[in-house]
Amino acid sequence: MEIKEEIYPNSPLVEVVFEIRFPGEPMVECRRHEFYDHVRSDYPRVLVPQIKAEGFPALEPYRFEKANGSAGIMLAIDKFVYYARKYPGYKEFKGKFLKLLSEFDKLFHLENLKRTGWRYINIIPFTRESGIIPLKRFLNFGLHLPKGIPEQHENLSITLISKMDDCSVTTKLESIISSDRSREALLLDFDCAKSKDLLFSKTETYIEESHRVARNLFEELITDSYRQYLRGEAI
Amino acid sequence: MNTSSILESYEEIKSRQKDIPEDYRMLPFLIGTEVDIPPEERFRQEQGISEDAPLWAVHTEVKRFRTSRAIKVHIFRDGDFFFAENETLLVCGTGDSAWDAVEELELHIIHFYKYYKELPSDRVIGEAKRLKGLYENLLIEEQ
Repeated sequence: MEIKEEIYPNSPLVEVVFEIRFPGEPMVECRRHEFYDHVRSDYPRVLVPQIKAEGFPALEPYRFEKANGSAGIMLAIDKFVYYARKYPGYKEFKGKFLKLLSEFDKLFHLENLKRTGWRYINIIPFTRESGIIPLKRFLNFGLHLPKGIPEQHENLSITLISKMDDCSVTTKLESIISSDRSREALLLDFDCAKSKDLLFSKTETYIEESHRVARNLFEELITDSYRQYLRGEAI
Repeated sequence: MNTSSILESYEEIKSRQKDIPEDYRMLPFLIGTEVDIPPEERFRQEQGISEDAPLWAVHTEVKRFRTSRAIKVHIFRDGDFFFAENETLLVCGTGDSAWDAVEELELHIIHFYKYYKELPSDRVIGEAKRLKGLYENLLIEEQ
């Protein structure tokens, strides 16, 4: 299937993340500063992990973040993560990730990966219609429910974990409300993960495949009227 | 709108999510792709999230209309009051809750739709001409 590259002016994307996980490698933890030397000019904010009561410090990532918080890197003994809160579009996101990965590779030379994951988090503000979430105006999503359960949802929270080719896709759809109760939104959160026979050298292929799955899912899920709104076709 | 019913349903979902037998656990996202701040929390903290929502239908107690194009509604709170506004249509609804503010906004939109539809074109100039152009084809009555 062809991948849509359109960047919507009213995009609901609030965060895009791609990560690789690898067998625990002490070198990554011990020489974290060497990696940071290569990225410190672009990612000047260093955020150290808060240790949880029952956590393992080495598994908690350090974060190196842009001064304005728009993007950053997470690094721990078993993972390398790149995230963008202001998504610049796939090509730019992938380019930045691969550049950072190349710096990482120069230092650590990993061969095998345990997992790759692409997370695509959307927050879709909505207004109710007669107290009901107008889900069908936004999403081509429905459950085949018995007649006793009306399709007029006051609230919803659904998580599906689905097998798709060689990846696992977690889709979370949930209505959420802001703390001051002024705004409500649908959280539409995709997580496309691969975990079988993964090689570091093929990371670019994995990011391509995971992005394709997530983007196509999003495009298939949204209705035409919501797509028009995302394009800015609104009063 | 029944504000307390909506708020209770949020509490109900939260409560049901925790309500699982002791021998069981929730699996989703245990080994999910890492994010620093859970998205629900980011929304609560209002970090970079749009405050605008689309409106595709408006109603009174007896009539329902769909809109010919989505109306972008900006919703915000100031003290104890909630506001729902659209700057292009020059309308704003207020209320004790966001839902009440949106309902009032809907009534204003329907009022101005009827007003500008009935107003002859030769009676408007300037800003009123622009508003008449926007409003008169904005709503489609549903049977």
